[in-house]
Amino acid sequence: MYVSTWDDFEKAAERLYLQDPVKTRYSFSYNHKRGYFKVKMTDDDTCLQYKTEVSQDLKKMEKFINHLMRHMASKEH
Amino acid sequence: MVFLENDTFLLELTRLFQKSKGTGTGQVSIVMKKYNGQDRPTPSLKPKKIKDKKGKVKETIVPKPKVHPVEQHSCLMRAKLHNRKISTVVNSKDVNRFQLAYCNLLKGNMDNLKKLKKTKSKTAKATS
Repeated sequence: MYVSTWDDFEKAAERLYLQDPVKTRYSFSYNHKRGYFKVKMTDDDTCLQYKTEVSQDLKKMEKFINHLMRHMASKEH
Repeated sequence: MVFLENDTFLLELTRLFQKSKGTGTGQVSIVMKKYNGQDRPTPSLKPKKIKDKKGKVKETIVPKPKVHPVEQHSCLMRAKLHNRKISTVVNSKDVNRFQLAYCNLLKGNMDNLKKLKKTKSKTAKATS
């Protein structure tokens, strides 16, 4: 399922991750030639996707993965 | 899948980005997930068909071999371009250092994105 805005994606992805942290994975792909990147968050049940061509979204994405990586490597989740 | 140390992983990842840029083909994909030491999938609970001595097919549920995840909290990263696959595990104590390097890498290599132009409010000037 494609989400139309970054903020919606971020919120939904966070919720999905907290439901089942072990099962959920985050993936990201970048196509240099066509100049876009896609992010995806899935637990093999629900799948959230977001595609963008704007470089400003890269900054938001970085913030999000920093947050996510810290969560993944911590004990609680 | 080649398992690498954190620093070598970042180095290889840069190479992947440059390769995709140089050849102008393919896309670099990165997967990130929580890693608790379990390195194989949990076996399914589907009944297996096993032939007994008389040749009859029996459906039996094979008990799950128990997976003992090591008490470990880290983050597993995989990256792929074409058929080149690399992976690494980031431990919680290395997260900060890795993040910094990783973000710089992304910023430096993803340079074919559009910049959103700020819409200047010309109307405000026109009215004054």
